[in-house]
Amino acid sequence: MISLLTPEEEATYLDFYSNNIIKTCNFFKMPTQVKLTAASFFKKFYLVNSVMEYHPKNILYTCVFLAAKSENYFISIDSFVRALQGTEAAHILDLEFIVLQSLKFTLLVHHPVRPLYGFFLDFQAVLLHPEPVMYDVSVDTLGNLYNRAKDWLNEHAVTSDVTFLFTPPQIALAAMYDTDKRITDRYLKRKFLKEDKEKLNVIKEGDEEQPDQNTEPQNEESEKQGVVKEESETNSHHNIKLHTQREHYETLVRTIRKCIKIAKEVKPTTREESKEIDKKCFFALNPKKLIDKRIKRLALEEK
Amino acid sequence: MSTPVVASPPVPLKKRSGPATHNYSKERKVGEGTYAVVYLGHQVTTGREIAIKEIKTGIFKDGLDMSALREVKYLQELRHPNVIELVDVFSTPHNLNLVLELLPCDLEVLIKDKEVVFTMGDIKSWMLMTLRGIHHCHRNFILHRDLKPNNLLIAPDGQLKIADFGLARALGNPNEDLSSNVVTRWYRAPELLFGAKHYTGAIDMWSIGIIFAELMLRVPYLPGKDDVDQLDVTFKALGTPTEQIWPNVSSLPMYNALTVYAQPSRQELRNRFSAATEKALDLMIMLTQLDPSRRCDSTRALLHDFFTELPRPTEPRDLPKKSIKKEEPDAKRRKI
Repeated sequence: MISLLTPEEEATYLDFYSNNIIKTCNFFKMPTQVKLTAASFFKKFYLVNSVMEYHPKNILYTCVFLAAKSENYFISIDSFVRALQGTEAAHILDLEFIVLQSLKFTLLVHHPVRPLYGFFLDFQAVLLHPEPVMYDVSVDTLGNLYNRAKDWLNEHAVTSDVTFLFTPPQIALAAMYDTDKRITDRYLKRKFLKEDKEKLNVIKEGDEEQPDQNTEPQNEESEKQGVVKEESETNSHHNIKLHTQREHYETLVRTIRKCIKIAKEVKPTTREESKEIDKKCFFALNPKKLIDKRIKRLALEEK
Repeated sequence: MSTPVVASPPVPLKKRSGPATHNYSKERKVGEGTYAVVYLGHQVTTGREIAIKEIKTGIFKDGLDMSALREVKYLQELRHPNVIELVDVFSTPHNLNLVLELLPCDLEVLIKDKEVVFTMGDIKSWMLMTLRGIHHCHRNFILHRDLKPNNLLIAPDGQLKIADFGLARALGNPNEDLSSNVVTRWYRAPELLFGAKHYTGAIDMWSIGIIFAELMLRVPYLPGKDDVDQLDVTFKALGTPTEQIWPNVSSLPMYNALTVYAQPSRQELRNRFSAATEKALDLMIMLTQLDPSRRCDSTRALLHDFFTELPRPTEPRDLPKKSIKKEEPDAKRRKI
């Protein structure tokens, strides 16, 4: 009997190879976008295929090659293969179509890097303008936070499963939150809770200016009553609004925390570990070799 | 005695429809391009007429063709009445097959068909459908980059659909350089002619403006013979951009103020487009602004007064159709 890989072993094995994607892309100096797309293709491929059917090495290269094309960073197959050891053009081109098929022909991938940049801009708008909200936070602080959050994404989001479980903006916020909880939380509070008194006033004024649009202007007689009613309605409305705002904020923070937890669960895979699995995988991919080996051994025993 | 066995029919697991290959028939070859062959056929289960774009694989040195990949990538994301529908994708051993809705006619055919008369209502209707389609692309951050009458297809019910996403790309990463060698020459915006590496949806809006003009004139508006001539033709018609009307234009890579033509006067444009109302001219001017940052976007275009003044846009089903061609009598005779 061939001993097949357990799902855990397969996962460990794939984690090891996911890291190689990043190395490969860095080697070719490919943009982040390509790196992330390649990693996403690779993960999606093995949602429907097994390492025991397709060995990850060439699938990995194929994903990188296809992602580069899909992200407009074309590299010819010759120069691609020349740089890789032990891989021929045909290996990759034969697999390209199979990979595309496994992806169900879906090539567009949304990554957290773009929303991260968006948050970087909005952090500046919310925390620095018109005047700084936190005495120790400047453009430089935020720029630094942004850079470290990018590193966080590279380290935790590319290889973990979070991209299957959270939206790109949620992952981006998780990166910000885990990098600097104090600043990110302040941003979220300002965004969702309108924490400052000044801001509260703004809301109130805004509410009064546009009275509840649902209350249709009734006939003139009831208009006077309407005004009184409207005022109290605006008040309770306001409370409800504050309440839902708080709920939104809390839900979001809970989501972000969950995202951080999952992103950090990935254990680094050691080379030894994956070598061990690689051996097992070899026979699963080439059952005939195992049979031959057994026959040989049997033949020897008979002698 | 056999005991009656009540055999419960096996509950099918989520029914796996057979390979998609069997679901479509390829019946007639209708066209062949560099990377694809187009067939007409039917969806077997529904009898729906469809077109199959069979993309050749294995003939290119570098694997799957980029345009094919782009087309699949973006059409998968877009669903809109005015964008061609990608019904399905399936693979046969050597080919990638895109199943597209069947769109038998295109705007170029109609423009060239001199027996068909366009009313302002017809033009308005086509413009509206084009703008709605492109609005959908742009709000999903997708640039089409090859709008021309030939790529605006017409469905049997008269709906216009934007097709051919082989040059499309996603917009929104300011760090990336874009290629300025896009869009068929006659419909290419001035910033592209000047070799801009960063541009926006405004390039598609320019193409739509030129198509608008072509719908009224019934001949191509700016038919440049080559890339250099295109600059000349464009500026002869719309004026040469200067720093005043287009700040920083001179910093574009291929900028040169060849011959300086004056901006056309309103009266000049009125003469050029004799059928156009003042509102129609307004929209045209907004769409063909030389400075891309002043050109109007799809939202502003859709809200333009031109679309709310009379005549109303023609209902798609009442729009002009291809006139019966001279070859057709043959076909008719055969039927008799």
